[in-house]
Amino acid sequence: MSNLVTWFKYIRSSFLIRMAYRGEFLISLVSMFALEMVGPLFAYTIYLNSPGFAGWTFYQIILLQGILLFIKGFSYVHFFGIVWNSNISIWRGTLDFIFLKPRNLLLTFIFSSYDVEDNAKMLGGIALIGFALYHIEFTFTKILLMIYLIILGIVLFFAFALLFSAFIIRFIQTWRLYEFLEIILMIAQYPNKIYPQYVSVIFTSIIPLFVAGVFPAEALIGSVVPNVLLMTFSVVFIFSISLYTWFNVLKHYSSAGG
Amino acid sequence: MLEVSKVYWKEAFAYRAQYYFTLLLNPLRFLVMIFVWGAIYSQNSIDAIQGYSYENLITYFILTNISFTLIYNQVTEKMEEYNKKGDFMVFMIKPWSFFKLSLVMTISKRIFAIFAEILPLLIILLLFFKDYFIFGNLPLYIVSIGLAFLISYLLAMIIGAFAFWMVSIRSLTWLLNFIMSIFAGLYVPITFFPGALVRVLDLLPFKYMIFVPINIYLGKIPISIENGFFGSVWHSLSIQIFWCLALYFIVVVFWKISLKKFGGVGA
Repeated sequence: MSNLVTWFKYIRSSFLIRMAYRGEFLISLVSMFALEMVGPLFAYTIYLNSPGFAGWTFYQIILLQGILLFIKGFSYVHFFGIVWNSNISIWRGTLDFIFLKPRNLLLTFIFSSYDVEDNAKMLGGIALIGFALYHIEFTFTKILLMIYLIILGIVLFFAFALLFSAFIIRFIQTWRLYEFLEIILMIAQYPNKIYPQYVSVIFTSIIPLFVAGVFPAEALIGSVVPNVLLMTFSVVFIFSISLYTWFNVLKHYSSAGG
Repeated sequence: MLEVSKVYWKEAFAYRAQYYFTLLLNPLRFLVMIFVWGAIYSQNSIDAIQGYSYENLITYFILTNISFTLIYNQVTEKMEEYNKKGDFMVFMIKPWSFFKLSLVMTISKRIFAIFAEILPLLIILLLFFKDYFIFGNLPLYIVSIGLAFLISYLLAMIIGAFAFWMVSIRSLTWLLNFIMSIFAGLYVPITFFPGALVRVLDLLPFKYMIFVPINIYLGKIPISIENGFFGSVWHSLSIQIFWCLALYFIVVVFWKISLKKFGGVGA
């Protein structure tokens, strides 16, 4: 069976499991969408009471937040579940089942982590981007650059997922890691210029978090042309480290549970 | 209560990575909000927004973090877990009701949170924001946040009872979190919202969980009743007591009906 067919089978079973409680599934889509709108609503109250962030209009901030939400949603649907899966399977000591499967370990991890509900995040991101683009002028070239940076953002999230998963495999029972992640993502919801220089440098060069929102938005708006080559290098570098760390940490898995 | 607390504290310290993350969360959340609002005030040269100076907002966000930590509970998550596994049966044979046991557990966790989550925030405050912080009405804040804790707990008990009807209540938990984030004043004082929305929120219990206790502390709600009882601290505390009683009544009735749905099978 090809990897693609296996992946579709996992997606199908994920849908069927959630369809067992259809009403709750629908409410969960709406609730998740509402929860993700906290950021844009917060931005709305800022612009309602003040001129907002210097150099950014309300629609540009919505574009930034939409891009971040889309990247987050896409990642959570397709692969970020490896973090939650690691937490549960390490805690229960059931990670062994994945080792037994006759497939590539990482791919099996990714396939089994498909999350239907997080489609609400992804759709929310698309809706916000669409809403913002309706009010912003742009060119085709700028759209292409934005899409390229969004892809880089997704690769960065994949690296985060591997690093978080490795951390959980090593330390066991770190449920509050999710809250930590949400706070880090809060930083990416606003322009990098509002932060002190050292914060901006850390999240631009060392952990290029701003590639998941600020830079794609700036690429489209055209206010600043991001250093694409530096971004690409940073993301590829962090991705390589995450792959190495993940496979390395797995060698220390004891199967004892937690 | 002491025994329940001991078990929880042992568990909390057993997973050190978890504990260290807990130490980091509140200071980080607070710093992000300070950076965002700091930029708004400084980039636009604003002295005050809706009567809140930058110093007011720093105190406000320190207190939202502290208040949220104090009123937080995991009742809905636990209810979903117990109901899915059919484990809720255990609480039916215990000498204490789920309501009491869960309340004791939540209080124990909050006492732990004072040391693990609030203390690091206070250290940051003393180190970097000492001059900005406003010393307000602490005794009345403590009374108000105590009532806010009960409102939050009772709301969670109501949502938790839905587990008997819907099995999975994750979605309702998210909805409650959304409402708490926006309408309780966690991210922004609710007076920043459009007037019509503020008037609607006056009729609901959410603003009495975070916004009102903080404004009592900041002295934005007057203690004196010279200008009338309505709008005074005593009026706000009375409404908090009213919501506690009303929600308790709903909890008792709704749990009585909902328990009939429980079959102990799990899902």
